[in-house]
Amino acid sequence: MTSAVIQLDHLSKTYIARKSRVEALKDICLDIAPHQVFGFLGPNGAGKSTTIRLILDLIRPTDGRVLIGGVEVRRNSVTAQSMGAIVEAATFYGYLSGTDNLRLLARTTGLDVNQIPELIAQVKLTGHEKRLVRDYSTGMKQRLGIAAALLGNPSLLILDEPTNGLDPAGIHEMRLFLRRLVDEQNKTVILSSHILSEVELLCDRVAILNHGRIAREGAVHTMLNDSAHLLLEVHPAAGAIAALQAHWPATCDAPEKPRGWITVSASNEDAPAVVRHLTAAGVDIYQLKTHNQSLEDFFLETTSNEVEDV
Amino acid sequence: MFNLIRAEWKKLLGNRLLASFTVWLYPTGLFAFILVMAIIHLLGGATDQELGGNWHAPMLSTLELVTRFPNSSFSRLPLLAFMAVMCAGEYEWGTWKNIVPRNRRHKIILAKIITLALVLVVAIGLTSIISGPVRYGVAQLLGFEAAPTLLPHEIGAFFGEYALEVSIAFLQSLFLACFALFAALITRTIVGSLLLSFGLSLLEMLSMFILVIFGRFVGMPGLVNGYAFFPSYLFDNLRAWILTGTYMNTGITAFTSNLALPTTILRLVIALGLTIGLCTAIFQRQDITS
Repeated sequence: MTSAVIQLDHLSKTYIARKSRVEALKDICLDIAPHQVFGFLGPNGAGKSTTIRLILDLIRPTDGRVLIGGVEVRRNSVTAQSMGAIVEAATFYGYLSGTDNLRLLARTTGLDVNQIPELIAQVKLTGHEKRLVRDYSTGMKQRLGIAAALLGNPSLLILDEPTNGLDPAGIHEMRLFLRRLVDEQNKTVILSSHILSEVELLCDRVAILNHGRIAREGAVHTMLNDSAHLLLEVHPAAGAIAALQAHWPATCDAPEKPRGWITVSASNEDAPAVVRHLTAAGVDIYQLKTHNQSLEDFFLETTSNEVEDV
Repeated sequence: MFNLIRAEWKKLLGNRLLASFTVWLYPTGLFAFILVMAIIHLLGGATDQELGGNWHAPMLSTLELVTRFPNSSFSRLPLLAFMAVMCAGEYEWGTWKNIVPRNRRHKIILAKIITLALVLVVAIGLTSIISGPVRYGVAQLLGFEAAPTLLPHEIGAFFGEYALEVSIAFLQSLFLACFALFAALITRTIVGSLLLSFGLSLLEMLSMFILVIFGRFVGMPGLVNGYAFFPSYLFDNLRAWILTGTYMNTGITAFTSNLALPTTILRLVIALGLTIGLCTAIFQRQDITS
């Protein structure tokens, strides 16, 4: 038995079109635990939307399987009934009003239509619900998409670019709203986004996809902490690097100079131990700085490394 | 399933502009025609032919005419256009992805086919009512002499026949919906779906002539008997059995596969099952990427 709400088990997807084969996903394995915000990050074409479509059973895997709550998603199953989703941009019938679109979606799944006014209010579309969707702005459609995803109060929300088309205030509101869904209502939110600063603030865990593979996966806090550096001005630099070698990898831009800056791959928590090691080795320390990476730095570093690897 | 049909109904008729110029074109067009005739009569024109007579014969004949018009490629074009837009639109508007994850795919397809057929039958039924009782009522208001009407014991038989015609119309509409849906599933575009569904229905309508010509070309005139498997023949034969009590005469000497009523019904049911099954199978296997 597993506690994962979603498991991707050796999942692969290859698109075949006009004699060309595109491997969108290659042997992805991932467990997503409940009651958290999980983010899929990756450059365009990395496989984020393909992963989301596979989870929603919109497309079939070439290999592997998706399990939701331990149950395998099979074609024509209703495993996805406990999920709400926005895939890429939120799309609706433009000739119907916002309310009518939600009513229609509720009816297709046999859900209660009485919840619609409350959902409209939650996504701040009150006053616009009677307007035709074709007259909505992109941001309003996105809000309506969130309301549609929340129909039936699902325990799992899958949101592909949920802040797409929202203004900065809207993005901020959306972040607080999604966080509340997890913290107060125990929901699980899986999202993909290009706005890395928002992801850093919102997500508990992330998976960075690149070229159809998971390049990194883990808790945001741990990932950033692990990628943190200590910068020390020391004398002698070469002696300092040798003293730390067994515990922390360290580099120096100008090792020929006796006094200089070294970069140590260690977190803030390791700083006292690093200092102790250097002092014990007779190294003089003039300055110590900590350098914490942002998720954006980490993402760029990870995806560029992957490109080099490829 | 009922909820899916309700939602589909709302979706289909919610597209008012499209529905007005396709399915509602027939009842509103006929009503407008009756009004124009009435105005011409009031202005002193001769309109006895258009407005006079009884209510039951036109009601039935209009229904028959309308239910037979799927065999006329041009008059069923607006209906196919409506169906093609409403099926292929799901791809072009990117709305399948909202519906598919929360439903079984075969139910979605079934609901779409049934609702499309229901909309058509409602439009056809309205047209027949306008051509019968409404037209008759207008004639009475204008002072036309009351024509001989049905005797009480004939009314039951009339409505029995009317119900039968409506049922045949529903079956034909199901086939038409399948054509449009099949085209949408294959092309995934509104224009492509419209062209393919129209092409398919034209091909089906001309199937007898194609078989005759091809049979002569390859020296196998008996090939025309394959026509007995096509829905257009099966519907015509069904109606011939109901109205005349015998099979339909195709007028082609090489055609000898005159089917009995039970065989006709059986083949129709099988053909419908296969067509719906094909659409469902395609949709089940399809990746929704729009």
